[in-house]
Amino acid sequence: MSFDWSSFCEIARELASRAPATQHAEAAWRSGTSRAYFSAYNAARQYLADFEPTWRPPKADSHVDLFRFIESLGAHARLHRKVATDLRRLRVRRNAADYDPHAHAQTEADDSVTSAENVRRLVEDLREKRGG
Amino acid sequence: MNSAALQGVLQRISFFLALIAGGSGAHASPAWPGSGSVDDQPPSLPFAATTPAGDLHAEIAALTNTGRELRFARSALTLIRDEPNDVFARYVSVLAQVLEKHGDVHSTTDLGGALAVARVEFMAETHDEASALALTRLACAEILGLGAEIERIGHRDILPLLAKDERLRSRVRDAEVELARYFGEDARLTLGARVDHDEGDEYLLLRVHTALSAPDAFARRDAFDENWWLERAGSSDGLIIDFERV
Repeated sequence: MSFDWSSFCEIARELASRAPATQHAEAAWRSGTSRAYFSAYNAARQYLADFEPTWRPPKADSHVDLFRFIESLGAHARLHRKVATDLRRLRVRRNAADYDPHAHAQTEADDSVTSAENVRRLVEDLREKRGG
Repeated sequence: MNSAALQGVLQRISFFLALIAGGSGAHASPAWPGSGSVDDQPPSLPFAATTPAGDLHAEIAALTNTGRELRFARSALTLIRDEPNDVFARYVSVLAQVLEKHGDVHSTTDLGGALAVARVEFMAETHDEASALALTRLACAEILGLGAEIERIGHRDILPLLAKDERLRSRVRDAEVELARYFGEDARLTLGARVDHDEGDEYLLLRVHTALSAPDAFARRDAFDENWWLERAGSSDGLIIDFERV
């Protein structure tokens, strides 16, 4: 049985809600931002595996190539573009969470989780439209 | 921004453009707008009455890397320019000399080079690194005609990315106008260069800094996407637009 990536989103929500005064709060928020991104990214990747099974990224495991491919899809073009656009935004926040030493606010984690949930809903919409 | 402040910014943009146009050395450097004029009063500032100009240098230094320097510098330097040490006038003088030495400045690459040299020469004269940084960013944003604050200027930073692509510069300016429609005329915008650590891609990040609630901010961003950005995002890999709640 394949892993359910939505559980990343649930964990991300828990991490994002860590109270500011608690130990390692910012580490929790950063981890929440990162898990939120991967929850959305893997939902999109699984969607492509199910509906575009012949597609392979030009560079192995390139996330950016996956965004480009999704936004190039003709059917349900606006939905696909919205998914790709929001994934790019989530990736910016995830990169900041995992690499940028400047402060990472709790709102960043909260908004990443909200955005990831939105992407997951959009991907579900696409699955329904394509009969999945 | 009130009309007096807007007029001041427009005058400063014209000033820098005039500096570039006269960069061959054949023309005298234009006067800084409002210098010596009692009619061009700086915009009123909350700290104007209590913050001596000397302390502003320390405050600028304390704000390094927070992304707030440029806005702060815009205001602080309005005050500093009237002080006896006149850091602002010194920088403008250095920049004018550098542009004259450079000859014509036709591209943002040339401009980036001129600004970098001016920064080094200003620092050599004044040993004031914080002011040099803030002033360089101020000059950069105003010369490019951007409303967004420039986050940093450096070797792998905004100028090389903007220099590559006039379409991208135009897209940033158009996006600034559209974002103001959805997030308000007074919304603070910042523009920074980023490198994707895992994949190496370079891109610009244009952000709206907003105090809106999450539902409101998401609703406005989604409306911006639906009505404007999604038609363009696919052909603009080099630009990502988002909000940051503060």
